[in-house]
Amino acid sequence: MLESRARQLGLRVQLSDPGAGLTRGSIACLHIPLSVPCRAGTLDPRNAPYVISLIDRAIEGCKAGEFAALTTAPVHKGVINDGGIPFVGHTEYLAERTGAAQVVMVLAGGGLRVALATTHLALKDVPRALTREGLERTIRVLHAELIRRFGISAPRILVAGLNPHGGEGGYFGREEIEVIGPVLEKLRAEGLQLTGPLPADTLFVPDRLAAGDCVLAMYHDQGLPVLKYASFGRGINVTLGLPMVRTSADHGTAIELAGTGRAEPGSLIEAVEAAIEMARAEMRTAC
Amino acid sequence: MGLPRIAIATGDPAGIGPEIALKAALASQVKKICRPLLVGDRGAIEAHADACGLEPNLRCVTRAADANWGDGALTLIERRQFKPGELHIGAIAAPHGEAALDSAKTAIDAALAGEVDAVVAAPHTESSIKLAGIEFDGYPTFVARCAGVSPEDAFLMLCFESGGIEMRIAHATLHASLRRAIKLLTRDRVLNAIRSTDSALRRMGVAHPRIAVSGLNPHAGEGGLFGDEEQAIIGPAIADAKKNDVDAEGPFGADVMFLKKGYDAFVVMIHDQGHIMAKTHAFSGAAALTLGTPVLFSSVAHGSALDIAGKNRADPGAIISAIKRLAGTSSAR
Repeated sequence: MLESRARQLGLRVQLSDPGAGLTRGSIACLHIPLSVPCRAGTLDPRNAPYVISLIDRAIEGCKAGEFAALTTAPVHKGVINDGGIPFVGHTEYLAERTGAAQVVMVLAGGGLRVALATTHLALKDVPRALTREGLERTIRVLHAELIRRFGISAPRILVAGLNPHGGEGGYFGREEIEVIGPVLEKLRAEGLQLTGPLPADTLFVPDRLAAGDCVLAMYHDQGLPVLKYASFGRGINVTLGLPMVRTSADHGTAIELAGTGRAEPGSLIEAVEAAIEMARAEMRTAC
Repeated sequence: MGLPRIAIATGDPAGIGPEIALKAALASQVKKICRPLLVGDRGAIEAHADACGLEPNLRCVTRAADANWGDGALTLIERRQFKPGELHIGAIAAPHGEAALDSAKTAIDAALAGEVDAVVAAPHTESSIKLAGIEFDGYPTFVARCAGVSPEDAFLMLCFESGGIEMRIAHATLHASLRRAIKLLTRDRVLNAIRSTDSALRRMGVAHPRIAVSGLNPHAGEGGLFGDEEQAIIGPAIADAKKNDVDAEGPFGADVMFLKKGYDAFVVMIHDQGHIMAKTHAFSGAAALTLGTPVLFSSVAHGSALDIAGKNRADPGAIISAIKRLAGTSSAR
């Protein structure tokens, strides 16, 4: 598939087995066969098991120490589900397969890091999903991983409120008072540097951001629009809390561009670079 | 028909409002595109004029209908808000809050009577309005109440410049908890927000407005995987809008929508979808336009700056931008 796609795009490349020595212009490729033949731009649920097997193989390799990190290219969630495999997203799948108790999705780009307290769920389910226990676990993982994976010795986290203006003292919602505030207080008492709950609309101004290493947004669209706008679509996605380093491009499969040669590799390149950096940071902290 | 008549409510008289209102109304670039008139207390405006060394030739009237732009005079719809010695420039006080809203209401009434074509309100000071015991949660609901429109039907559109592009973001819901905002979203409400955006853009001189509409859920629900409001509410509202000859598209994921080019305005579903973008990327602030009422009304992109009031240090740039926008001469797309 990769060879025929390269031919289709007019890219001259030599694929070789990971075991063989690399030569100039060649790329190591661990061969995993398609379930059924595939055509660029055409979704086929019969290849859902193939897509999943790529991820599974990568997980195995990371666990075994064969790979230092995992970077994933976009997958089409709908077609995997159509293929009979329940799949919400890479992040959730990796968490399940590695038995991670709590993972945290972080997006980075344009000089920003934004972690999400809730990820891919309907907005109306977000207030219910936001519990003291869950938020506490999320912040603990985020804090520990900012140290371990990013090499930040004393991470400062800026935590957003859920409601407009951070609830304005309970006037526009009570989650800040009942859920977010108490969790922050508890963890601050343990020495974590947490600011918030902050009104989300003024959280991303430069002065505020300068006082933090990472923003924790309560839901997807609270954190991502600004980041994507600031990074001109070259943001990357990082999953924290897994037994391995995992990064990915922050865009979708863009089926309409497949096979046209018009797809930009920028975000994926950044994702690979970030994975290398994180794997190195981990080696350093481990020493 | 002559140039549009624009009423400038002078805002908190203790802040920089009267100063920037005067500077704007006297600016040749403003007089070229509209017929400005001021609304406020004469003594307060004269005090600011003196402090700034301005000598406006004020013609005081009680009704906008008596305004005259012919002879170089600047018309002031005079409100008697203060007795001599009662105004304290730079201070927070209940009468200042009352005065700011009185000027705004007078200007809105003039627009409702057809005596002016649009209103821009100079900055108010929230704490002075609170001290005055007036319930106030922003201009959209205030304008709606003055106009006899249900506050639910008034929408807020933030307007600002980002990277040389005029961004406009209208909000289908605003100051409600996340839980309540989601309940407030109905097909009618979203349609109403889209149509109000379209009609305001037309009044602002955009001949064929193109509007992008966001979803509510991550990735606009990704085909129903995370939430069904896109399929049950927002999509149908967009289809309704199209039937009404409004060029609306969507629903788009809010995270990628703002990167899209070629739209005159974006409509978002909840406060933070739009406000985070605006507060982050509007380096010189965002002006707030009220949609959904018969009055074309805009605030100014900054506050009343009590600390520099009465010192001739205020820059009228933002109020001039707001006036240009209302007069239909700001750059689109």
